[in-house]
Amino acid sequence: MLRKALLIGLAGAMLVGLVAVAQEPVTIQFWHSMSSGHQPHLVALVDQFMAEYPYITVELTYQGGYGDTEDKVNASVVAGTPPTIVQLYENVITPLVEVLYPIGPHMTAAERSDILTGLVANNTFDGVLVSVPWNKSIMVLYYRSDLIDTPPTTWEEFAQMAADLTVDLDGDGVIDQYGTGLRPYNPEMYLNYVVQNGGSILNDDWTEVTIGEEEGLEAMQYAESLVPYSFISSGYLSDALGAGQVAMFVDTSAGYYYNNKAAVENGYTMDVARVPFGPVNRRSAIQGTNLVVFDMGQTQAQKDAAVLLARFLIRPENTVYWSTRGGYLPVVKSAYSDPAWLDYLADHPEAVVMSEAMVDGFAQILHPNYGQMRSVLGSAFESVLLAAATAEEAVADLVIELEALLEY
Amino acid sequence: MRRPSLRLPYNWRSRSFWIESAEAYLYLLPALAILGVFTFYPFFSAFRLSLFRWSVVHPPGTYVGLANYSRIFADKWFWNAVGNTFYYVGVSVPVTLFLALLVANLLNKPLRFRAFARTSFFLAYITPLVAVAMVWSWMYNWHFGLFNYILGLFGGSLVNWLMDPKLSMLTVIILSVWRFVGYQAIILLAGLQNIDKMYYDAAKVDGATGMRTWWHVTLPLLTPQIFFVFIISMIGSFKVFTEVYVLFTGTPGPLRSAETLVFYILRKGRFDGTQLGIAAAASVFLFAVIFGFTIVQLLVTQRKVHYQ
Amino acid sequence: MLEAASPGRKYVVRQRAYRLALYVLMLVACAIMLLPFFWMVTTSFKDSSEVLRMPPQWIPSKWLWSNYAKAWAVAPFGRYFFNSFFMAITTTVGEVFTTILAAYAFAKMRFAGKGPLFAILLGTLMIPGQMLLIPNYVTITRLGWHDQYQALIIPWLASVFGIFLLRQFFRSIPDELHDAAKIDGCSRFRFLWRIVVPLSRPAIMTVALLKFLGSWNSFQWVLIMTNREVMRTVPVGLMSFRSEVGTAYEQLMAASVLAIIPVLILFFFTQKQFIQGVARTGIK
Repeated sequence: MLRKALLIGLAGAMLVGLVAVAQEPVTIQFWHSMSSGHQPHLVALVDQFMAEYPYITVELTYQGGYGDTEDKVNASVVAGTPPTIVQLYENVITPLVEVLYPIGPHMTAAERSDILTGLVANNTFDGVLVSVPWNKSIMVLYYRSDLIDTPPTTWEEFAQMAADLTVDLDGDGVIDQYGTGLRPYNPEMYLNYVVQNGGSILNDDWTEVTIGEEEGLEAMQYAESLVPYSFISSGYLSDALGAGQVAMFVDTSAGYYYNNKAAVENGYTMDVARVPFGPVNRRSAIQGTNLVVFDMGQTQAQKDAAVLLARFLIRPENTVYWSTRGGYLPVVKSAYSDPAWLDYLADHPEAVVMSEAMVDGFAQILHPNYGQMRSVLGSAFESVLLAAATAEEAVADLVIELEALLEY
Repeated sequence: MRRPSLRLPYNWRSRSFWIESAEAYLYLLPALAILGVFTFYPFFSAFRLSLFRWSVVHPPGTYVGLANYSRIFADKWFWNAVGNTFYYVGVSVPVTLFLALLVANLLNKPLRFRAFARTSFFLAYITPLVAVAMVWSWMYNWHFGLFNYILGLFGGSLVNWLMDPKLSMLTVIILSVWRFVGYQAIILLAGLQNIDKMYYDAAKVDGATGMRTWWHVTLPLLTPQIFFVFIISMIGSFKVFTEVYVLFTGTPGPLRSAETLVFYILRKGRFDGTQLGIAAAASVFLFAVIFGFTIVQLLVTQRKVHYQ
Repeated sequence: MLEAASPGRKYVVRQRAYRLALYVLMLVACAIMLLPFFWMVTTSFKDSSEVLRMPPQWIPSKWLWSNYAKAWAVAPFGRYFFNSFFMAITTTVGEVFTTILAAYAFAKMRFAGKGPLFAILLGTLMIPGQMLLIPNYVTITRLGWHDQYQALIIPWLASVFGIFLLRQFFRSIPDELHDAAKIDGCSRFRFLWRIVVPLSRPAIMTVALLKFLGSWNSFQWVLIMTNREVMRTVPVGLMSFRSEVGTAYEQLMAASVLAIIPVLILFFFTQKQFIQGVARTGIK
C-alpha cells in the first residue's frame, strides 16, 4: 500500500517536474496600434497575462496607427522577420494567410463557438479559423439630444429631419448648422446604406460585382439626397459637432469619447441610437482589427505562447475589461451576460445601443483586393459628396473599377 | 595646361597602366559600391519588378509579363495622374523660367541691396519643403487664409483653393514657381555675369540699344544656362510629390485632382497596399517619359545653344 | 563724332524714374518671396484666437513663446532634430569621402573602362529617384534595414552629382604638382589628401553644403523607409505633428519655424559659398 502511494507520489512529482522543465521561458513580440488612450489598458491586460503564465514574456511594441503597423508588418514579412502576434485588418490578413499559424484549431470548441457569429465568417479562411477578433466597434447614430427629442428610425425620417435641421442661424446667407455630416474617406457610410437596402459589393463567390444593381444604386441615390443637408468633412465629425455644425451623424462607436467630449465642452447634450432602418434592415458596419499569430521562423513554444495570449485576450472577463475602457464591444457571446458588463450597461445606456447594433453588424469581406476596393469605393462616394458626379455616374464608374479588381 | 604625354591613352601592354587601373578602381570602390547597390541595381530591378505580381509572402511573386503595364494603361486614375503631371510640368517650367529670367536681369543691374535680394530669393529654395508647404496650405485656407484676404481686398470672393478640384493643381504650381524662381535666377545671373564685356562693346559700336542688345546679344549668349535650367527644371518637375502630399495633408487633392505620377506610384507601392509590380511599371513609364523628353531636348537645342 | 557733354534734363528724369521703378520692382519681388516666412514667424507667436481671424492679424498683440514650448512638448522634436542632424552629418562626411576618391580617379588617373564608366554615371543623372524608390524599398526591407538608421544613411553615402562637381575642379589642378610630389616620394594617396584636398576647399565645401541641405530636407525617402516615431527626421516629424494638432496653426507654424532654423543658421554662415556654388553649376 505504502509502496503504491510512494510510486504514485514519485510519478506525480516527476510529472510536475517535467512540466516545469518543459515550460522553459519564452519571449514573444506583440506589435500593436494602440495609442496613448488605449495603451495603459493593454499593458494592464498583458501584465495580468504574464502573471498567470510566468514563463512567458510579452514584448509590446507600438507601431503607430493601423496604416503604419500594416506597412511595418508587410515589410517585416518580406525581410522574413515578422513579430509573433499582431493586430490587423482582414484585407491585410488575407494575403498573409499562408504564413500564419491558425489560432482556431488550438482553441477549445467552446471558445470557438463563443465568438460572435457575425465575426466568425471573416476570420475564417478556407474553413479554418485563422484569426480572432479583438478590438471591434460598430457604427451607430450620434445625435444632439438638445435639438432632437426622438431620433429618426427610418431612412425617410432621417432625411426629413436632416432637412429640417439644416438652418442658417444668423441669417447671413451661409448655413451654420447642417442636419447631418458625411465623410468622403469613410466608404462605410455608403456601405451601410447598401446593406440596409439588401445589397452587397460582390456576389457570394466573388465572381460578379453586384453593387451596381438596384440596391447599391438606390443606396448611393439616398446618400446623394442627403448632400444638401450634410456637412462634408475629410476629418472626424467631432470637431464639427463641437462647433455646432452638425445635428446628427452616423459614425463608429469607438469615437464616442471624442464626440461626447466635443458636445459637452460646448454646452450641448449628445445621445446615441441605432442607425435608422433601411428598406430591408438596420445593419451597420463593424470596424476594428483581429489578432494573428505568425508562422515564419517562430519556434513552436513561441507560437503556443502567442495562441495562449490571444485566447486570454478574448476571455469574457478580459474582453469586457478591454471594451469598457476602450469604447469597443465584447467579441464573445458570454461576455454580454458577464456581470461586469451588465454593471457597465446600467451606467452607460449608449453601450446598450451599441451592443444591440453589434449583434446585427456586418464585417469586411475577405477579398484579397479589398484594400483597393475600399479605396475605389471611397473615390466614388467622394465624387457624389462633392457633387462632381451623379449617383448613377459614380456607381457606373465604380462597377467598372471593381470589376478590374475582381481577379487576384 | 596639360603637357603633351608620350604615353598612349590606353597602353594595354603597359604594366603600369594596369597597376594604375587597379589603384583607380580601389579609389572608385566606395562610391561605386553604394551607387551599384542603390542606383544601378534598383534601376534594373524596377524593370524586373514590373513584370511580376508582387507577393509579400513570396517576393517577388508570380511572373505576369506585361500584364502590369496593360493594367495601368487601362486605369483611368493612371491617366489622371499623367494628365495632372503634364499640366504641372507644362505650366510651371516655362513660367518659372520666364520669371527667373526677369529676376536675373533685375539682379544684374547695379542696384543697391542686391545681396539682400539674392538672399531673399534663395531662401525659398533651401528651406525644407515640408515647412514651407505647411505655411502655404495655411495661406490657402478658405476662410482665414492670406490669399483669400488679398483677393477680398481686390473685390474678389472667397476661393476654396484646396478643396476645389479645378484649382488644386494650380495651387501646387504657384507654390513651385515661388520656390524655384530664386534658384534658377541665381544660375541665370551667373550666366549673365559671365558674358564677356566685349560682346556688349561690339554691339554698342554697331549702334544697338537696350532691348535689341538683349535680344541679339545677351539672350543667345545666355542659352547654355537657359538650356541647363530648362532641363533640370523639367526633369525635376516630373517628380513632383511632396508639395501635393503636404498641401493636401497626405491626400492627392479632392477627387485625386492633384495626384501626380509619383503620388500614384507611391500609393500603389506603399500607401494603398502592396501592388509593387504596378508601382514599378508606372515608375518605368515615368523614366521613359523623362528619358524621352531629355533626349528630344538635347537634340533640339544642340543647334540652338551658343557657347562663347 | 564727339557728343555734347551733358545729357538733356528729360533723359536724367527718365533715368531716375527708371531706376525708381527698378527699386520698386525689386522691393515687390522680395516682399513676395519673403511673405510666407514673415507669415510663418508672426503666426507662430499668436494666440489661437488671433490665428483664426479674418481680416488677418499681421502682428500678434502678444508674443507667445509658449507656443514653441507647447509644440516641443506635443511631439518629440528633440528626437527629430537628433535624427536629422545624425543623418545629415554622417551622410555629408561619408559622401565627401567617397566623392573625393572617386572624383580624383576620374580626374587624374587613367584606367581601363574610364570612358564607358563615366558615360554610365552621366546617364544615371536622368534616372528619376522615384523610379528607384520602390525597388530600394524592397532591398532595404530584405536587408532588414527598414525603419533603421542604416536605411537613412548608407544609400546616401555617394552622389554622382558630387563626383562631377569635384572632378571638374580637380581637373584644373596642374599635373606638374603631382609629378613634383612623386619625385619627392609622395604616394598618390597622400598627395590627394595632403595637397589636392586643401586646394579644393571651396568645391568640397559646396559639395558638403549641398549634401547637408539635401539630407536635412529629405522627406520622401524618410517617409517611405521609416515608421516609428523615434526614427523620424524633422520634415517627416513635422508632417505627423500636423495630424496631432489639427487646426492649432500657431503651434504648427512654431514647429515649422523650428524646422527651418538650422538651415537658416547654416545659410547665414555660408551664404557666399552656397550661392556661388549653385551659380557655378550652370557654367560648364
